[in-house]
Amino acid sequence: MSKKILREIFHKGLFFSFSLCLFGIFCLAQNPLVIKAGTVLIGNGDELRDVFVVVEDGKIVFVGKGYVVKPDVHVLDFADKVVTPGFIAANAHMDVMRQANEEGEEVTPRINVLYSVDPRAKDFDEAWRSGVTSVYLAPGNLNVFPGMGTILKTKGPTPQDMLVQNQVHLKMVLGREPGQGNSYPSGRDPMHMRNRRPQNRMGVVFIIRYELTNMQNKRGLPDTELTPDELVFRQVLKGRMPLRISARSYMDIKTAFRLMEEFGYRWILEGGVDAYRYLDELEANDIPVIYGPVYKNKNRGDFNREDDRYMARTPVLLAEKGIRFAFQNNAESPISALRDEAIHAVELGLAEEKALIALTLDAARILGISDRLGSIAKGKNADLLVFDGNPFEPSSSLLSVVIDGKFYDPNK
Amino acid sequence: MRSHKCSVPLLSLLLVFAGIYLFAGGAEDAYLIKGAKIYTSGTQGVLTDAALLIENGLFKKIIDGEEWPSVPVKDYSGKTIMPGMVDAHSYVSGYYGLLDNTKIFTSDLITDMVFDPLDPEVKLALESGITTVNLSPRNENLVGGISSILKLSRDFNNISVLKKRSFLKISFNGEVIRPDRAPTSLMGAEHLLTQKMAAIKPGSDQDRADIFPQKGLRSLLGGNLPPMIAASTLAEVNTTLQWLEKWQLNGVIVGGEEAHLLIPSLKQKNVPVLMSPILPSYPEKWAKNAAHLIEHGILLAFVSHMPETDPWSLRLSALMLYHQGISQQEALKTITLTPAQILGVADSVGSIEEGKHADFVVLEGEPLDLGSPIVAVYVNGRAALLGEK
Repeated sequence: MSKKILREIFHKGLFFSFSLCLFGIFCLAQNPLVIKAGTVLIGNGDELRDVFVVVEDGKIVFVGKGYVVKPDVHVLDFADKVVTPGFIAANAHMDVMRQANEEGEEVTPRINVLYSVDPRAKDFDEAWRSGVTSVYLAPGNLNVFPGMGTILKTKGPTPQDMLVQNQVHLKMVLGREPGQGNSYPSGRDPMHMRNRRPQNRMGVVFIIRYELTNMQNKRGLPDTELTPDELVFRQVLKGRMPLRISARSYMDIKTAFRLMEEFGYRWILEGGVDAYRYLDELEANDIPVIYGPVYKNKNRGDFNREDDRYMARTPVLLAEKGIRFAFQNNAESPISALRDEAIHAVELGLAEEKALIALTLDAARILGISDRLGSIAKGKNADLLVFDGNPFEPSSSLLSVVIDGKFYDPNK
Repeated sequence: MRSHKCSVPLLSLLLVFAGIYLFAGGAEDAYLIKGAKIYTSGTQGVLTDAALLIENGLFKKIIDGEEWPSVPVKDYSGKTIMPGMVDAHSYVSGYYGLLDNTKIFTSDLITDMVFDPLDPEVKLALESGITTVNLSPRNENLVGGISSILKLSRDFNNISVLKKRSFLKISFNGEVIRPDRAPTSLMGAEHLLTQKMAAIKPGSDQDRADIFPQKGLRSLLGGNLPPMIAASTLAEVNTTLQWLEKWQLNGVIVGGEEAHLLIPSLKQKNVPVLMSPILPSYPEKWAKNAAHLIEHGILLAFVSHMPETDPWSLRLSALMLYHQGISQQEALKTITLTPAQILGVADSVGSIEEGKHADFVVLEGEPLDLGSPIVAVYVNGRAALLGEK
């Protein structure tokens, strides 16, 4: 009898300790992450001093003073540090895909770039270690309509886990790039896949006008009678899906304006090395610019550079005009140079607040994800950077990166 | 009336002959295997003191006692017996015949015609203990064709096809991507396949005029033919899983070298993996990853891709798995019963159980000891190697 009772007590004790353990784990999981920061640059230009940033379930739940800290909660004290939102690369040329270009056809608006992404790629690692927590990726520039882009966090086990938003902006490429590789040397094989239009700028414009005119002619048809590709173009012509036009030299930007007058699409200028020549037009039509890079730009062949200083000061000129802009990197500069680009622009006269907005909130606004990313505000994703000083001083270094509420050490 | 009279004795004569034939045939075909240790791969586990009664090419009975019927006896005392291995992805005897490079969609081709019993590769495979193969189209086409499940045989008058249309072979593998024709990228491959499938609506006759009506893709969409998708890297396996989800299909992954990185999605979608063999030249972590998949409850079988790798790599892979802490019987199942289950032919091959085909391998020692040579291989109850009776 006594044995039985003892066993029962033992079992109950076991059960009790087990449930206590579970409760403890539950408590740990529910504990919010409390950061006490000396300076918080919230991303929209404002600066807060000595405030709490509270993160729960990967989201920011509180920003401000007067947070009552529970006694058992550990507070991360960044008293003399600077906390900023994670940087967003509004366009990234990263080597994270097995093949970035699908060259079978010129017009492939439905291609899903997510399938080619490898999360273990070196460039993703480099990105988050330099403070870039989100990137926009699109298929490469060798097609006229290479496809729609996708926005990814730079850390995660699978592409689906990193996904912020799929099918953002239909990309359109103006310039020489879509023609590259198409002019197959004569006398080889006339039936070769690459022996096709476009082979130069006017061929590119022909294909764009062909597709969009075709879509205009089908204006009366219902959605059910269109192919999936045509549905994308319909979204573009109705202004629901912005075109992201990759144009760098002045003549390509001019072409983009002319085509806009003809078809009435909404668009975003990507590249925009010669954007300083069209400041008034850009302002009048409210066209955002994804500019870059001013830093280490060695690509001199494609456009005529009459004044390097103008070109490098483009962010300053854009900010003066009030044109929304963000930074990108290109194939010759690494993704880690994004902050350096902003620092370079600050050196040339861009206000530091404007540079941070370009790196964070304006990039998110251009990408259409400012409800989730881009600033330190209640309800947004907890993507934070901790610097040991002013982020636009080249000497200050990045101490920690927070992505979706998880701390990572960039120097490890 | 007259013809009726005539037919009665004729019929009876026929019946008598048929009876004699059946009786004689039955007596001739039936024999008993005894003395050996039997790894059944089935529910009975390992039998140390049992005999197998084989009749008409099937395991008639597994006798676990001393009461043997009076039939010829083959004594394999001191030897071990395991079920014939099932190779769920093989190009045996037809490596160059299994690829039609004129198009990237060749879903009408069926592979059973390619099998050549006189090819030396068939002998090699049999000598390594493989008795059933799923002869698959190659990885170079986006949709390669329809695979067939065959019994290996060196007799060209006696080829038995277990299942003529088993899987539709689709490839997201790196081999499908080439710079001189579409697709030139993985995302493009997925896009092309989606476009093609969207164009072929089940039941519609829109491209009947074509020479190749893409019957394979049609039956895939109709749900009559499961897909078998070649995918190795993380991106390829991920694309495969997303594609299966998109079209609401149940498929099988071939290759799967990095499938362990996507265990949660594999488990959630219940996708089996036919894994490339673990070769001695590969790092040890490959075997660890394969064991990881099994520990997480994912159906995993090893395949040889023969002749890209040697047929003995199946036994080697099971051995490597055993060294990772998987039990011997579980490791043996990855080359016998599990591939048969994945192929959907587990009711006839894959294990030594009553009623199944009498495909088995007699070894000198333990099956996972690569030092123990194969003494005899039986397919459908008959010795399949030369020099055997």
